[in-house]
Amino acid sequence: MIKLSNVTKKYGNFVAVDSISMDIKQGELMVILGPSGCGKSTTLRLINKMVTISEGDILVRGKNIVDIDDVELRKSIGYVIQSIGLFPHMSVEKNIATVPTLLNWEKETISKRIDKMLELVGLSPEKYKEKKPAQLSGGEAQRIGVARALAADPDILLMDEPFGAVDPINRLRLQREFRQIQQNLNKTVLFVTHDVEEALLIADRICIMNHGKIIQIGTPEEISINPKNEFVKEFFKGEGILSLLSRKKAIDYVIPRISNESKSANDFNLKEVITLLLTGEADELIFKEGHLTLNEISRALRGEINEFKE
Amino acid sequence: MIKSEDKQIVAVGILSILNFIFLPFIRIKPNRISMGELIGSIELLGLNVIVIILLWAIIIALSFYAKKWRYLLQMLGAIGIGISIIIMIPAQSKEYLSSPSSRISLSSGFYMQLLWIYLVLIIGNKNIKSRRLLKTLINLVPIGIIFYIFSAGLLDDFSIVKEFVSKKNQFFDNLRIHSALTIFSVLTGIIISLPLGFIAYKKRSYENKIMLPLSIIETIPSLSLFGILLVPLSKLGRIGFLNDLGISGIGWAPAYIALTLYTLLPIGRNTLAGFSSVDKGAIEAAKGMGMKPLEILFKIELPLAFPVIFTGIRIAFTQTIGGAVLAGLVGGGGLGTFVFLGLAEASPDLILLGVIPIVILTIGIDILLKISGEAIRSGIYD
Repeated sequence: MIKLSNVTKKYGNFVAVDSISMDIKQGELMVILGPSGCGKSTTLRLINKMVTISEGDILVRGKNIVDIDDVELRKSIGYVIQSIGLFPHMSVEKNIATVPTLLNWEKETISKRIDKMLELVGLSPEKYKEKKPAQLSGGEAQRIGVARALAADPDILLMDEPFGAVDPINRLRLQREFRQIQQNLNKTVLFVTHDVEEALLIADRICIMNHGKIIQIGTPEEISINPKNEFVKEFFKGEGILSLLSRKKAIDYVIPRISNESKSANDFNLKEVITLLLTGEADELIFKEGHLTLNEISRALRGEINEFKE
Repeated sequence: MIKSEDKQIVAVGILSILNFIFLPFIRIKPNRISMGELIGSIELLGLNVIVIILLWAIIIALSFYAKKWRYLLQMLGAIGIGISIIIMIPAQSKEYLSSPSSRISLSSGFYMQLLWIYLVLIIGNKNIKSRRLLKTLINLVPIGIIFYIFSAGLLDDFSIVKEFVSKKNQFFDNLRIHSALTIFSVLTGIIISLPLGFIAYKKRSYENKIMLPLSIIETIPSLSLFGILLVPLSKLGRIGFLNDLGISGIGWAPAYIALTLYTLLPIGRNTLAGFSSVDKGAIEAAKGMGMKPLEILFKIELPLAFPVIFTGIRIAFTQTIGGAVLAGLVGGGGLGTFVFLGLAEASPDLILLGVIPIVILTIGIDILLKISGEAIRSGIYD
């Protein structure tokens, strides 16, 4: 979907992005992760031509972006930034309608789309349509930012630390909900952040950058279990597989057994299960679908690690 | 007595009564030039002073009542005092006006009354929060009444009115010139400095190069600027077609140019400030979503910058109405003509004939522009 080949960006003598190559597949949520100043935001903005390439090629949907008109390209890609950038003098309605209006959609279509987008991000259309950005909380504003980016139904989304300005409690909700939306709609997303936990929570693949270069690309599992170097290890705080536990669903590890229990393994991840086992009194947790013990979990995880190490 | 406003009104009332009784009230002049004699209120109005003093006493007394509507009554009372005085003065002066050229000039006692009445209106205005209609009425009705009395001819013995009557055509001519000078100077200023301010915003490197000269111009004293313009303009004025237009070292040309130059800073600086105040995130988002530069300018930057720019224009207007007085010094016409004429002939009432309309115009335009600005602002913000 998006292919970068030896892309370099120089500002005078300073190399912001150093010959990076990556291939982002359709429907994938790729997180670009790295410390401040590593070139991740610049990389993002090279793709929608907000920054011009010094060397290398970028292909979007198979076409070299050099051959696509800047404005047309941007209208086909959703863009969400940290400061959100809602237009203060326009209502929520008009904000969301921005790109559809630029694309000359029918008024009726736009109106229905606005309602749909608001519902998508979990806000009631009647309540929020006429509000002004100044009347919104941080979390609400960023939801509208996402709704605005999705309004014209782009298949690609570029997001630059979109949840950075939101408080921690709301941030977790936004991250979970956004992941759900992305998976349901099968959008290709390039997501820039410096927050490791955020990356681990939502990414299909993570691309770690430092000093303008790609250090490692892989699934969260691959990177946690096989970090390429000290830098990557340090960045993930050496937690390795423990940091992945929140991504693993209990239903995938449960040992089937008929039971009368009502709670379902679908609603739990391994981190929560292990916490319950460690703090509870019983040696095993029983679900509708079966049971889990600490021993069984550790055996399964060790098996996985060994697979990776091969 | 509850609030500090009440104490203020009591103080105003007491001072007012004292001023009224002890300060010279009017001055009767047998003709334009002579100093005439000062006459006190008691001598002029006789027993009628009791009416005025009584009204003030009622206003003072109302401060002690804890009712909400006392402010309204106080304001009405103050207006009543003002109108009564204005009607009483010419009525009671008949015996002093010995010849057709005799005239009434106003002295400190009268002006102080105006001040205290005005203070009561301000203090009262603060406290009636409801009903804009009522507020507007209270502010406009006295003006209306005075205008009516004026047109009924009751004020004809006042010297300022005599000056007006004798110079009626000249007055309206100069009023027109003054207004035209103001409007054209500000419009020219807008055409020149709005783009300049915008350029200063777009190219940071130009910001100082543009703003510095404008600031320097602003610091040049007006008369010096006229002096500076004198030589080049008179040279230009010798060229045939320019001469026909009326361009010369004196007249409308230096006035127009100087006034335009003075509007450049407020408009230019506010344009720069207005555009700079636009949220950079909004512009980044607009660009990233696929808006073209012109679309961003008209849909995002201009609407958001407009309130500040409009304020700059409003400042330019109020500044220019006053500044246009100096056109009178160089033969450019306008209300300043009366001001300088009055100075030359030592006739304070002629000066007032120039000054009072300027004050009224300035206040009027300021209010008008403030209201329009608000209307446009709420239109932009929906």
